[in-house]
Amino acid sequence: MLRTICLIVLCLPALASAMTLRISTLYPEGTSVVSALRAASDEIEKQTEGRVSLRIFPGGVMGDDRAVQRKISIGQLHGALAQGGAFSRFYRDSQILNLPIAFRSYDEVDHVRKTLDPVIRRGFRENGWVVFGPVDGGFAYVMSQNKVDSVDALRQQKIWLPANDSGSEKAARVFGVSPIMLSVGTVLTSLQTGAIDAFAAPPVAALTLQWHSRVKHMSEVPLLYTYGMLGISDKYFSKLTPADQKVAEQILADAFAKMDRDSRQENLQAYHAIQQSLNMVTPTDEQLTEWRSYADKATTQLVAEGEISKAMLDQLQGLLAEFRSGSSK
Amino acid sequence: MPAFSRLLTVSVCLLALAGCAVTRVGDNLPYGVLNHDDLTLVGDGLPTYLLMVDGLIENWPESESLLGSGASLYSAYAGLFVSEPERARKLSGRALDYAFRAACAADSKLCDLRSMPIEEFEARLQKQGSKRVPVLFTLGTTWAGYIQLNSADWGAVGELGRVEAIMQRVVELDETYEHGQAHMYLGVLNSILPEALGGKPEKAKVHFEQAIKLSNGKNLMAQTLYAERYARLIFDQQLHDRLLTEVLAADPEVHGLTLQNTVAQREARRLLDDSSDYFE
Repeated sequence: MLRTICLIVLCLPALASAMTLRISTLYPEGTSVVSALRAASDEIEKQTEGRVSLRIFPGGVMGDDRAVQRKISIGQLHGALAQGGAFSRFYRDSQILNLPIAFRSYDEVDHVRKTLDPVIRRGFRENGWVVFGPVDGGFAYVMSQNKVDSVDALRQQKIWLPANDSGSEKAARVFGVSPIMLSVGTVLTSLQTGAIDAFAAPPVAALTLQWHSRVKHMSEVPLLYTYGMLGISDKYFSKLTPADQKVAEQILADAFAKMDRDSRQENLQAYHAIQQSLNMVTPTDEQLTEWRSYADKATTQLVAEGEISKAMLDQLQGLLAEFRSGSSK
Repeated sequence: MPAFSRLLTVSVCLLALAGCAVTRVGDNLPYGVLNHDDLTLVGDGLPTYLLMVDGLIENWPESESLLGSGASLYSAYAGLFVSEPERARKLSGRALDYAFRAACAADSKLCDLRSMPIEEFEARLQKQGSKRVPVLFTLGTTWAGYIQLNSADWGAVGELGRVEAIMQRVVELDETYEHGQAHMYLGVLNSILPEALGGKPEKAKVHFEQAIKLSNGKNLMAQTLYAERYARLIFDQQLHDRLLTEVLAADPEVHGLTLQNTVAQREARRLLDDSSDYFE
């Protein structure tokens, strides 16, 4: 008995100082994202002399976003790499990059992100999350069996939106669209059976999930900017020594900056691949103005409903105005 | 110049045979490779075979069996032995080109498969009978290998659905073909994505088990992939380790599968060594 206690006591310092951060992600084993996380973990382990490492659970083995959040709250997991929306309830203003048709080009996205990325990371930090990213997810576009150039045409579609995404559902209602809510896993079958005939998604997702093969057109309106990020609950991260925290933060920040750049390249390549297989629908200027005016209404409503603060929206609009006046000179 | 003279002798022999029985040459050519258990020797020797098949195809450009052999051999070489990604991609592209030409040579309805809409593609597959199983299987496996090596090419990734449709058709027509390997491919295709994104792990499991059953447990690659794809995806370490331990204990020498089984055992060793890292 005494020996056991001695052993436990002897082990305690080691237990207290060694920390494995358990991270879940939907990305399957073998993808560049999972490999990058593992490489970052090795580097952290090396630089902290084995005190800190990451344990990656790939391929959604820990369940969907909701299950993962539950496991984080009870300490079975410590963080997750997921789409931005999975964390938005902890810091609503992080949805600022997700507003409908907010951006017209990647140049605008880059200009805005330069200022807002640190703001978003700080916002999460104040709400108990250490986040890395955002990682570019590309623009989501409407892809459809029938040609969609106008808002009216959009309303004629049986269009899919993610089942747990309240923000995009609210925005869709403003457009007068009644989206069909399904889980991601059932979209392909639903496209095959005709239960839906349109969806909004970034090209990378449409190609990976084979949805692109069941539609004919893509509307060239960048509907929504999407991104992912790694969030680690501060409850666990703060258990590391300040020096180890600094090491882990630096390595992960570098890894995610690289992931962001690589991912942008992938998204551009996927866009070109989609262009080869689908018919590109370009709305007229008049139609585009209509798309944007509905998007503005939707944004106003999101602010009114408290999804996003007025101050954050003002900051976005200021940055966009600054960019647009600069680039029109 | 021993290697060169051997090449000449082999080619001449084959050419003599090929004149009267192109089909037989094409069908038997790969077995020397497929039945080998020395990976290094096969890796070193394959280029000779590849060049020979290229030459034969020059002479018989519409021979379904030669094109099929070219597809399988180039695909195997690119996937197993070429470590430079750029070269591997290029060689797998050549393999796929041969596979498309083989399909087109077998039946004009199987020409231009890559560019037609998926509905048309599926309709044409439905019209194929069991005598098309070999050419469809070769196309499916070659295409899958091509996509794997070109996974950075989004156009290629977007073609996975077509590979699945081909393998599905092969299984419908003759699931026992090549020790039930089409089931193995369907197992992999259904376990690429997690369930939340539309993957079908349970369907994958059924396909893997069927592939193992149809080969009487002799297709060790099916069992290794079952562990690597399914057991890891659902996080079942017990199943993972049991499958791989069985693979390592089995005799890899099986007609037509020896090379593949040897690779499977190499992979099984690697996966088993990495098991505690992945699961614990």
